[in-house]
Amino acid sequence: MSLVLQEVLRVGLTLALLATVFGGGILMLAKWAGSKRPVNRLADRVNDLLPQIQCAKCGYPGCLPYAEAIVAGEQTDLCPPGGRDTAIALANLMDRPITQPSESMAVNTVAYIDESKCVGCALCINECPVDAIVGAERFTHTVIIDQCTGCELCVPVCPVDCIDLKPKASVTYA
Amino acid sequence: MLERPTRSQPEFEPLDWSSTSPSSILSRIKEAGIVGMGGAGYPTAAKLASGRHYGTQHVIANGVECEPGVHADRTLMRGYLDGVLEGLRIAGRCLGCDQLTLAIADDEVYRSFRALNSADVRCEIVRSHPANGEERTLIRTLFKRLIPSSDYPSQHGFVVLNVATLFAIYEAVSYGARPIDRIVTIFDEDRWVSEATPLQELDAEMFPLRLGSVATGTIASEDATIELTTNAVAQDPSKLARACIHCGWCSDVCPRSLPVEAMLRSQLNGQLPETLEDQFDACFECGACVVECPSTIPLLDWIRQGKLESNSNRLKRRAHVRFERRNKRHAQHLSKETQARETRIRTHHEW
Repeated sequence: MSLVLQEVLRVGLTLALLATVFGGGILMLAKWAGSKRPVNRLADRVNDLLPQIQCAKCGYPGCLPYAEAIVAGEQTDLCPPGGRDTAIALANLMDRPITQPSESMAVNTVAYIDESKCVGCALCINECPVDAIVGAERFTHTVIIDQCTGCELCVPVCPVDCIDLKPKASVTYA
Repeated sequence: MLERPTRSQPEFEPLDWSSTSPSSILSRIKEAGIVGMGGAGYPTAAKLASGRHYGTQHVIANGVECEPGVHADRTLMRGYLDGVLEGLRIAGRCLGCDQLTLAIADDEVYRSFRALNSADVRCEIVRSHPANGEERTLIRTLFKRLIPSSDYPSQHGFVVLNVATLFAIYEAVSYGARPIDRIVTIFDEDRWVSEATPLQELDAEMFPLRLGSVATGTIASEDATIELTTNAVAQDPSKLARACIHCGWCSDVCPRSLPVEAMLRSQLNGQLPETLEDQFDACFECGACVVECPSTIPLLDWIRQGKLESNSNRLKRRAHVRFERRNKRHAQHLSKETQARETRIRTHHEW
């Protein structure tokens, strides 16, 4: 075997080895990153348009499930807090005829717990989709105003009816 | 000196501030209900109390009035400089601090020469730039100290008070009157105006109006009134706006070097990328870009709108993340409970 051929083989094999190692590394990294965060799915783009109130008024347990259902063929006009603008944006994104939601819902509200009435049953804590209620069993609860989306889900479960919805601007930390 | 038809009658006993205790000066200021008259309306008593709590090294009278076309504070200093300086001394006594500084813009040098002669007040002259009127920027200019935007300057030993606020302090303490009026630049002319004057009393042909300067003011509704925090009323120039010619002057003059043009475009397109959200927050609304814009675009209106939008986008993202986390936790919890129940059923089936 000539010296030149030997040299070519050596360099070629080294490069092939390096390419395998780094290429494999990049593939593994991509797989890891992909498992962390699936990016740019159509459902995510739909989800970005939804108001993220997580009120479940659409019949799905939250905004992302509804977004996935829209991609699977659900109607685009089921979001009451989003209202007209969201329905139009969704219909445009999905290229479907524009329809308006039949019911509307007040936005920019937050839940407010009357702490003098609260019995500490922790039912509302379980119901809150964004963990915005702090408290424990047999202790009074309160709402973290910055995190509350005003979804109204905690109101029906309260056994003593101590939760009201108030406009966000009117509620401040005491 | 400007004619003052609106001066209130004294309601309280006049105090001799040099022989009064700091806490009774503070309670008088609180009683008179003085708020910051530079625009933000922060309760002055709260600011002074915070300054007393953290300890104050410098009390600064902010006479750097750099909003374009506003000269209410200048007029006040020209006519009532003694009152302003007395107010500064009162604030200094209240805070237990003798490092008093009067900051003025460089076009004020000749008008406030008397300030230079007073023994206890240092007069500092800063460049007349829209950003220098903001308190953190002013502290940075004067003392080379950077106050993070999360903290109040009073937590770092600085108390910055507007000259109109200091004059109100002087009147409340030495004369015993509540602040019910202030000097307002109305269409480039300074006037003493009493609080809660409806805008309807002004020239109807000038509507729509802005509360504040031409550049930094907000568009006033029909039934708006002039408050103690309003330093100017100007005509709204937004109907003169033309298309953006991408000259980039707005970014050049921005004291925070923000990409103003990209921010404007994000609002016009209706697509706000996540990377621009912090830029919107960093804007402190000095109005330098609006003054500079050759197309007279009301940039600050768009930026304020973008601030609201970026805030709501951030809230939306956070709600989504919290929702996902909560679902994950509930699923784990439920699967644990189910497993426990199945184990229980499997192991206790004697019956």
